[in-house]
Amino acid sequence: MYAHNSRKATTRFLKPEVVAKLKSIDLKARLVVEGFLAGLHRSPYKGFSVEFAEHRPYMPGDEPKRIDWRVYAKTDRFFVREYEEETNLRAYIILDSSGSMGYKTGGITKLEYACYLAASLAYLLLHQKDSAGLVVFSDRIDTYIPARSSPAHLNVLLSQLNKLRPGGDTNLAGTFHQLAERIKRRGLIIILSDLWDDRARVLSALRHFRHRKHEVLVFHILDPNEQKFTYRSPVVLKDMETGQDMTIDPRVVRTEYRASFEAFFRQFERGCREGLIDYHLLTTDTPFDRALLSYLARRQRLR
Amino acid sequence: MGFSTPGLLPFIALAAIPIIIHILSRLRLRHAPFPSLILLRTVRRERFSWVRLKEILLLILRTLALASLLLALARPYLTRSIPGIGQATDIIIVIDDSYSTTYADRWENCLSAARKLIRSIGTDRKVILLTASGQIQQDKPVPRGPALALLDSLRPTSLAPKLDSVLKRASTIAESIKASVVVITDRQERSLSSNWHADPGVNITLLDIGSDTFNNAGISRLYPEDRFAAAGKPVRIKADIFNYGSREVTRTAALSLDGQKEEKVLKIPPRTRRTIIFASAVSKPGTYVGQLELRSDSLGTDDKRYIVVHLPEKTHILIVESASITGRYVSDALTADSAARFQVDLVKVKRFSRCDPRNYQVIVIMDPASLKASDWTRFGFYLSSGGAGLLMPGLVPADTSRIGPYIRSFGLVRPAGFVSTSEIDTTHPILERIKLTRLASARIWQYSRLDAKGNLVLARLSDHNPFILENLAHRLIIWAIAPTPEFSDFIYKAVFVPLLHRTVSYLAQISFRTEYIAGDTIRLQLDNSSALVVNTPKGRIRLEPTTRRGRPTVTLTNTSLPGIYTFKSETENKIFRTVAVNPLAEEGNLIRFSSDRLKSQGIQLYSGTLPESADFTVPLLYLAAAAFAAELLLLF
Repeated sequence: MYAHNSRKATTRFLKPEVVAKLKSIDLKARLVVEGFLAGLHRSPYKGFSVEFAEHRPYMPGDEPKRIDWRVYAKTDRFFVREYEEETNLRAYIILDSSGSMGYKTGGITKLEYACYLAASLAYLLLHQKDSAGLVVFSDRIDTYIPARSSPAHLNVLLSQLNKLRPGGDTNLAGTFHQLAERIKRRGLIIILSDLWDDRARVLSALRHFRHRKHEVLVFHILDPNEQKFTYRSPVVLKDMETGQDMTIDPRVVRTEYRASFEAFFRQFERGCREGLIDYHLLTTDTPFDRALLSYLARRQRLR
Repeated sequence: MGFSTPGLLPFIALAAIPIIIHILSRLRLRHAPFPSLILLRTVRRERFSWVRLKEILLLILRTLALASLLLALARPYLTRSIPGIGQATDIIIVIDDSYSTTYADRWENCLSAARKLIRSIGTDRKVILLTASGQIQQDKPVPRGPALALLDSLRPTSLAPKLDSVLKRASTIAESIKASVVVITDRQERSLSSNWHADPGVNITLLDIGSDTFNNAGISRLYPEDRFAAAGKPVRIKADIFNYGSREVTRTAALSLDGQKEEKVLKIPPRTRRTIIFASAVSKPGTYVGQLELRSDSLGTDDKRYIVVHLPEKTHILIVESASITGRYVSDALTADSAARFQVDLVKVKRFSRCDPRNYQVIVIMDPASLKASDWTRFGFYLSSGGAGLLMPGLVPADTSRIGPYIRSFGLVRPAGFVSTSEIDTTHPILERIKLTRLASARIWQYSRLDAKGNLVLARLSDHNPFILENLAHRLIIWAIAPTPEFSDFIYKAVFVPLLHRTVSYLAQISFRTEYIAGDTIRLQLDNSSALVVNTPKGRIRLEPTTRRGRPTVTLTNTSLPGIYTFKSETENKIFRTVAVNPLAEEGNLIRFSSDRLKSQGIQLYSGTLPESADFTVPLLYLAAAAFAAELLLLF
């Protein structure tokens, strides 16, 4: 009962509308990750990030807590325990900041959701001593921050995420091909996008990453209304990227739109599965733990 | 082309509502951003043409449905003239709205004929509508539209008015405005008096909506078996059912009385009356309301009849005797009844002044000649305030003027031998069950020769002198003898007791009417000036009393609906009177008068068939319904 309540209390902070209320993106990332890990009932740093290497004599400046008291008891000398990093995973978070990502019908835009998720992932990666990089793109690559593992790198990533604004057209396939060529060392590619582009070309570009031996994790981020199409009365819709208008009667097109969306989603899902790419559809009202769990599952397979 | 309700024509503009809404919705279309139109483009390519077409179709259907509906409300029709019915003049239409016109589809035919007539006249001509019952009484001609609208409000009544007076009124108007008169009636025999004749110069045409064959039975009478019903003795109900038609009919008569329900099935030969007696009875003092219904009949109004049975408490009677004429025989006869319906007080004439007459329903005066002038004054007040009296002149003095203001006698007659009753009015309630032979068995050897002037003679003696008189101005019965052995052996005859009982009961009970005919005026005298509330089949009515003949009186004229009318005191919430209002039974007789009689009365019978007017109302309603249905089909 206690465990259940504790889980409930922590996952409450994984809801996008709760996270959005915090001012600092640093806090947001920490809240998401700590809350998520606390919910898992496991120590965040246990087992997979660091391994014991050797003992060395205590030097002034070392933290007293690192002194191995058992060795002291046997030898009457101070030794400290040395650890070494288990892996050197390089992860690139590729974030779509095109105009369409600025859409929202509920609490937060798709871009905000993607930023919080990216921040959380970066926080988690760097606390596991992995290196994390960030690519922000619209119709071209706007920002490219190479992957690093230093704790200070988190601030670089978070400050970059914090100032992102939606804008511009989308060129997913071109950008992905470009990045596939640019990122030399194999690693984990995490894509956060609404994927509003030519499906075949996007899938082809994602396979390019795989071809370059990268592991690919795609978070397809959408607003709930894009999936359900809940307009009630006739409306003039304006494309947020091209600016084109279209007058529609939702009562007439809703069913076919939903069918069309389902086909669109299924095609991505099937294409990714065939290309051994992890694909997850997230709407902006989905709690962050679902995305983080997907990441962790992928991370476990990489060990 | 004309419109029955042209006043609604401007509302056709409302048909533009769907178009206005469509335009407004286009103008006020909401703009919203959307991430990508990629999916919508593929959807729209397939749907676009059909959506647009559907939108236009819906708009057309909505406008059509609304326009058809609104146009139908204006009730358009095509004008067709009727040859032979005063084409050049205005027209006065007299409608027979008596309840006989509710037989089968006669009323619909009546309204249809009136509509056709109105629609047949040109737009420059006008119409006056009159009804036999007076529910529509126009003085000035109106155009076709208002006349048709007025016709729609017309309903058949439960009344049985004759056409005489309305035709006279129509003739007067026709003469003044040079119009022709058309009367629409079922030509029922009683609807027009045979001595009525059209004024020369007035053109009256009759449109016949009746038929010679009909099949109607009705309740012609509903009454207590015993006219002088009294508490203590069960009172059963009798009903007369008349089959007016030419074929034998079987009907079920259902009576409900004081919570009891009883049904009887009866076969009635054509043109015959059947009387049935119901076993349901009431015996306790009080007022009972009953209703008889005849089922499975085509004319409904005469199939329902109401009855009010009033069973009084004991009747209080004062017998005033003199020294020479005893009241013992009368007293014994009245108290001989085992049910003891009468409570009798016997007083000497000299003590009469000490009695309060208001305590008695009937005062029997054995020897009127013995009354003093002051006694007559008191007795006069008593009579004028609703009291009843039975006068039995005794030994009439030589000075006949002393006998009192209500009796004129020419003196005492002592015939050689005796006389007996030779003639009686068996239609009178007192004598309807008395056999003349039994009454004639009494021998009379002394009697007062009464003056019948101003009185109704109920029985005569064998020498043609009056034996029993009824005073028409008061509730007063006068016998020519005093019931003592000095006058006759009448007191020893068996017929004496029933005759005396019926006489006293008649005097005590006719104090108020309990049955009226629909359309009658009910006028009730009150004891005080407080208002009455009447529960009628139409609802509650408050009646304020007015002074009439020195007494507070309420008058109810609105009795057009048959049913039970209960008059209650507004202040005390106590029932003052309950009466039954019934339709005139004779109106159920649908036998018609001949066309020859019509000719002799100066009325022309229209022999042609009225052209069917092209009424577009129903087709337009169908069109509206079809458009609406098509819209629903498109939507779903």
